[in-house]
Amino acid sequence: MRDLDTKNVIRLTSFNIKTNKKQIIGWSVAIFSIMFLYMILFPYMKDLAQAKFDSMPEEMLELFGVKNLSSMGNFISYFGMIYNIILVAMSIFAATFASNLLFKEEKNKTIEFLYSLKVSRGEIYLSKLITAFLGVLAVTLSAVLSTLICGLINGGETFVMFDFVQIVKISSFTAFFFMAVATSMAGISSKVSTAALGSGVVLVCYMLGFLGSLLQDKALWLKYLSPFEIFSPTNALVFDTKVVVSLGIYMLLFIALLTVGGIVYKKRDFNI
Amino acid sequence: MISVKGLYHSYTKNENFAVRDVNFEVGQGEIVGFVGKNGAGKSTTIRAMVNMLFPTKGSININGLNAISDAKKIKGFLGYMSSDCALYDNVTSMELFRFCVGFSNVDLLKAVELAKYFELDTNKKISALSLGNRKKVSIIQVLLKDSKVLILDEPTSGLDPLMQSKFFELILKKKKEGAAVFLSSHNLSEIERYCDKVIIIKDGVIVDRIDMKSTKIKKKQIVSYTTAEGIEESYEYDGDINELVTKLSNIKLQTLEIKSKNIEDDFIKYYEEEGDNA
Repeated sequence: MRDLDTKNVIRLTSFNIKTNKKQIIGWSVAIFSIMFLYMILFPYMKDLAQAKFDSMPEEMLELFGVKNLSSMGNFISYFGMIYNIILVAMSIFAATFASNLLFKEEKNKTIEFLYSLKVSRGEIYLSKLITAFLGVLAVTLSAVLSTLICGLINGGETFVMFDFVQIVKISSFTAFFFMAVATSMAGISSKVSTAALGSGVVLVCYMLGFLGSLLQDKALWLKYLSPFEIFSPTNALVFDTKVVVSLGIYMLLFIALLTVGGIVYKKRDFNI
Repeated sequence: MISVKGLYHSYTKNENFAVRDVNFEVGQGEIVGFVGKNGAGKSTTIRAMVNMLFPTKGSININGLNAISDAKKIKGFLGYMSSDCALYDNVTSMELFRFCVGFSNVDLLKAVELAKYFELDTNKKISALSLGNRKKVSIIQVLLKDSKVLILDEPTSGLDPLMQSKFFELILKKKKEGAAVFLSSHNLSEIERYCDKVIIIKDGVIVDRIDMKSTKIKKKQIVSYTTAEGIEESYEYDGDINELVTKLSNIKLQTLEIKSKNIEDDFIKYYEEEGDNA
């Protein structure tokens, strides 16, 4: 910790945001627009969604993370279903954005410029992590803002703020978790494209959750390997001991991954 | 000021070393040139000196500080310029300089003055700059801070002759102020002109060290002639020049060329030997 200067970390973070603002803004606008499009159509989609909801087998409802949601005629339930899908896109953004922040410095050799300044490797790593966090936060907030506007316009009584905040709080952790996975991977190695690898991890986790839902009796444990399942909107609303314990374990994993990534980053050759 | 002792570096886990047993020192107020063909180990050595790479074996000290454990402290007085000049495309050079001065407590005015000296338009985005102008941005970034040690990897490649000359004017000024300068280059005439010492590296091993102040190179002459009978002769001569003239006066010549041996001849020699052995 002795090599971390707060001022340097702030300067580096500001510069990272400046050089990556197009990506952050682009994704935020895209997620805002998609969410807005789906949520503003809620009054027209709710009947259609309800019909689909009623016709779906339980396994499929679980797959979409909406098994325990009351009905699709409810704004929060509808949001839960859409948000669970949007979370896949947000997680892919989190993984690619976070890993590229470190990976591209070495691939483009700009690390030779950056590390020639009076900064430590720890400061660079921490600034990249904060930048990634702020990027994912911006994209998450754009989805939240979009839904909030639509909820106030057409949510009516079914737009329950407590439930909305609960889903956003718990389910959004998934995107931040993949941000940590990707940052850690890029910290450990930059010899392979960690952005592609990070996206791969996101899709594998999603598929594991999918399989866990399909193979309930035979391989239920697979679900616990997928943050998409554990922190699904359904589980966010239930928020039972199982979810709390899982959240604790994933938080520890989150910290451990980032710590290992940081330690290795300080001791490895830059791939230039 | 710079001391490299027994430096080995391998990019892989086996003992396939990119550089082996590299030893040298660069003193205060000294310019040392580092010469070798592409892939000889120049950039590996330089990157180990600035902590981009970790030595597999050996030690590097700069101003008595360890290049690994004291890397951040060292960068307070060390200027490093990479050969690639990779910069961030979507910012202007002025934005880049503003970012740099934040870490070294230097007045941004210095960047403005240097940009004027090197005739650089600081309002253009880096992506719109030519290779030469990108090189100028890197040079200004290095010269911005008050460096006591400069490590420069091919600093003038891509610069026009006028800018090269302007660059060396500033480097010589730094030298007079007592800075230690270590630079690699493929431009052997600039190495010969500005360096006090030259280190030649080949296949990761230092194969020669030349003190430019000594008479080792300067005194040698390359004598080439064609006799009246059409026989061509060429040899190195480091004896008395009057004796050479006397010796040549006894031969009936068609052509004669006597030139001072320079570093280029010494440098190329190693590659010719490598070719012969292959």
